[in-house]
Amino acid sequence: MKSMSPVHRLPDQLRNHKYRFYLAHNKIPVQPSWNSTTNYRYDELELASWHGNYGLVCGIGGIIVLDFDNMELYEKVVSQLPPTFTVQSASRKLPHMYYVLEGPMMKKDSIHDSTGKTLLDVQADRSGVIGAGSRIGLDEYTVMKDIPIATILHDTLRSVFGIMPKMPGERQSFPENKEVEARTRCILAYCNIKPTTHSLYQCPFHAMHGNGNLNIMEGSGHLWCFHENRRWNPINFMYAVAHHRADDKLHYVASIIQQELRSAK
Amino acid sequence: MTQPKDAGSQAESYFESILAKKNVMFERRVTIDYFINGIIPVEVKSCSLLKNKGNPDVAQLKYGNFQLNQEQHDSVLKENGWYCFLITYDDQSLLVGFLKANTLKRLTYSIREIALLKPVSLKEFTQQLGMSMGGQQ
Repeated sequence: MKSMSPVHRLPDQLRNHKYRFYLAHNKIPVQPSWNSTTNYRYDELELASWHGNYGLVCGIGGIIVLDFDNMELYEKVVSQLPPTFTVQSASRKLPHMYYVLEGPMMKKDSIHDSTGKTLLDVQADRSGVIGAGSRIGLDEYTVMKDIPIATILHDTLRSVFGIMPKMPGERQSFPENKEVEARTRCILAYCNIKPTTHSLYQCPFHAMHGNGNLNIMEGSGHLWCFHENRRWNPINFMYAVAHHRADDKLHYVASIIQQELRSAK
Repeated sequence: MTQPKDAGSQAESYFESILAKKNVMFERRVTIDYFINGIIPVEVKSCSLLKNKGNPDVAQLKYGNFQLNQEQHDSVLKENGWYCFLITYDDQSLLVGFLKANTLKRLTYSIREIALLKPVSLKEFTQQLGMSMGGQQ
């Protein structure tokens, strides 16, 4: 008996006219402009008659997929994320968590470990993810959690992963934010907190996990450890580091900067 | 607006702008960068906040250091002058503070080391400037 094509096993959660699908061979889209014009609703003939793999165009209909490349990270964060429809990848058996993003759509984003290895891709605006039922050789993308697609907030992505979601077409940062960011980075230098990447630092209050856990929040310039979910304004952070290290000199510098800021206001 | 050519000139432009905001008169000289009100020598030292350790593909970053020049330092010391320490990050410049040359005992300092030497702010510097000017008048 001939088995059903991957498209015919499209999960009910994705049978929604809001979503768009593309035709794929293994993981590769087979048509140009697959993420803009050459994609289909689940009930369109082009898709229904396709016997190969298929993918979901993320971003359309507000959908994003947390595409884990590391099982440890998934196990660590899954309890902090809303339970949602999840697909297991074919070859490496890693989870793809599907969400509807509340608020404006973001650009695709990633987090990496200290060696640059990808731990997670957030498949978002116009990126693709291969759907359940598709096959790579003998291995198949299977439904891991057959539950409705949950919604997720930008704030949740920020707090769990330290990702600062960027909107499509958004500038990296505005000039006024750059000054705030520069001041915070300067304070981190005073504290001798080492940068681990261009956007992350090693949190001084615990052992380093992954690629560093301390992030500068865009706009406010506040510091945020997404491992412990703690936030500080830069001066309070300086005081906390001084207290943690019993560093009186640093404490004094913090108090001077605080006075300067107060008098500037 | 003219774009500064490098981090050094970016820092100097910033230094001039903060002095101008405080209505402080300054002039550029050859041996020491600036003379404030014609008499107080100030050498501007800047460094990049972050530097890549070498491999551009791997974000191995480290903090910049302030480097003094022995000959120049001797000149600033001789004139009982000051250093102004500035940090550059992208197109931003930030003031760390002002230190008397005689408080510096080495030629290389990290950003943290300069901060821990308790440099005076621009406000304090200009106040001290006023006092020293007043003392001479």
